[in-house]
Amino acid sequence: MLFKLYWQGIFEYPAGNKSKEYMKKIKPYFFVAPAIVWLLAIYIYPIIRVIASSFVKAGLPDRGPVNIFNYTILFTDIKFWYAFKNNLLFLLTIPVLLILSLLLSVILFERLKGWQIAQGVLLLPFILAIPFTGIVFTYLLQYNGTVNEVLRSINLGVLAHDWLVEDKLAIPAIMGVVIWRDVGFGTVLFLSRLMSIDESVIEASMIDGAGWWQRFFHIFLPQMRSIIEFFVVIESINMLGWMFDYIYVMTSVGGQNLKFATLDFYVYAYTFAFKNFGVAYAACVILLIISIVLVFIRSRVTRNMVEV
Amino acid sequence: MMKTRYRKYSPPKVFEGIVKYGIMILFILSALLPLYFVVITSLKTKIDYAGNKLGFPTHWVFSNFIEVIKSNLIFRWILNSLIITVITIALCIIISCFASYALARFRFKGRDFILNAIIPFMIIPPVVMIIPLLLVAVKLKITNTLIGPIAIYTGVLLPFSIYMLTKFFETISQEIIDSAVVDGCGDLRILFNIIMPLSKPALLTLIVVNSLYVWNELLIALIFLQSNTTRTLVVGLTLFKSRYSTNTTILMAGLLIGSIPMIAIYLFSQKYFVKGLVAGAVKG
Repeated sequence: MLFKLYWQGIFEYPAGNKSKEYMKKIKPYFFVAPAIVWLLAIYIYPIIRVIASSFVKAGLPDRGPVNIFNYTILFTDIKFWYAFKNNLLFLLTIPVLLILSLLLSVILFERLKGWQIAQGVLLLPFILAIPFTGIVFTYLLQYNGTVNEVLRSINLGVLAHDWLVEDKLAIPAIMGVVIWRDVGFGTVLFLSRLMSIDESVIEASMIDGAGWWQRFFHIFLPQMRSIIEFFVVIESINMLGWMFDYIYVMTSVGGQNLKFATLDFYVYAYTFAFKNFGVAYAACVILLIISIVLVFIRSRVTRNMVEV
Repeated sequence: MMKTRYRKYSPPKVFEGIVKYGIMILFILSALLPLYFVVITSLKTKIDYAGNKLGFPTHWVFSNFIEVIKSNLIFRWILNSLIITVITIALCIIISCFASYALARFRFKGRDFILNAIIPFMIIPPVVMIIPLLLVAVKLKITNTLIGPIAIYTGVLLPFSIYMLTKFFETISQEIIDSAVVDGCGDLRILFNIIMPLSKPALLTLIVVNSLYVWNELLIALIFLQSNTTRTLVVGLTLFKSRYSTNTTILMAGLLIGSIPMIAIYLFSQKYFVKGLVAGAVKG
């Protein structure tokens, strides 16, 4: 019955039909409805459920009074702080990514022979599934793996470690993989922006005798400011909430005592391994708060953006 | 006529050239390294690999590939991934085209709210929604069917898709639409026969980027599809790691087979991948 009305709404009222003013006003809602319903189901309902459940012991809204029991467990759990710390550590990859991507994009911008192939190849790591590249790197970084073998063969055996297992090395090793993967993305992004810079400005500067560094700092960099900010925001979002794949594939259990986990992995572990939904809910809420903060940052940043 | 593309005018200094080329080649090689490793390892015998980890295989063998295909449902997994991806993308495009059409064309109460509210959704990690959605799936008895992931992926992709399409639809000239209205076109006609053909590049880009996300997605597929006949390719690949932990050559063969679909698509539509990634940088 409802569906019939809906169908009528979309089909039977032509765009310009003046005599059905009311229908015309309602029409947009018909078009937007499926999306809204879907989003309500997949986003809104779960989020409300999660927030509500986090304030109740045992994770179910109708069991017991509202309290912050889960949060006290969460904040006194050292594994949570490990995870949080790791997320912040991953943020450190961003400056490295920035420098490498800028470098590569400027080099490729000069259109040396084969730059298009280079762009395609550099993007490949980003296209391949994280599990795929993650497993390969796991094998390369094993104690008996290729990296160590190479080190041993050139007499630097003392540098050979179990990269993904040792405390101080696991996260940096994964950071390396993340950098390896995301460099292509940054390079392509920056390159696109560079290619849309007004030619005449560059040519004028060359006629005026500007050297490479001057071009870089006075022309390229200012124009790229907004896309750089955008890149930093996107990567920050990645580092803070989308790291599960790496951790799962490269450390399978997040390290002993979840030493190597990130917040999203923490939620996963508490849900499926420790079966403690309450804490998982609380951690989800923390992730939500982080997301909201990122939303604000993003909107401030994109306020000044120019279309690429 | 002056060349409109930027060219180095100053005489190239040899040293500078070498450095730049060097860096470029260095990064290209490092990007290709894992793929190279996978390919050559999968063509080696186990003994060959043990003695010679990085070099070329002494003789090529295909037994690894056969072993992978024989003892796994890898093609079933590829099929599952394919079904999920195709249906999700289809649903997503349809729903977001409808929504974007209205958002781009009509001014109605709530329009601005929706456009602003959609952005936060793109940032929230799906982890947050998993538990309640899993509970619902259990209640509806749809765990281990492809329905769950399809529904979730569609939901996750909607914000981004609607956002992109609305921005794009807004750029379509009003005159074309007005003349269609004058000719008596209904909304659906306008949407399908005018707007969508004109939006082909944007739609293709969206399809490509969204497919990439769905195909490579791990967490949701891992949780909602646990039986061997329903799991997706990417999840299956992660299982290889424990299954073939001592059999590196077979493992690599499996990884290679699993990554061929995406590599193939990438080679053919590289342009759209690049466009899609950059598209997120349009004015917010």
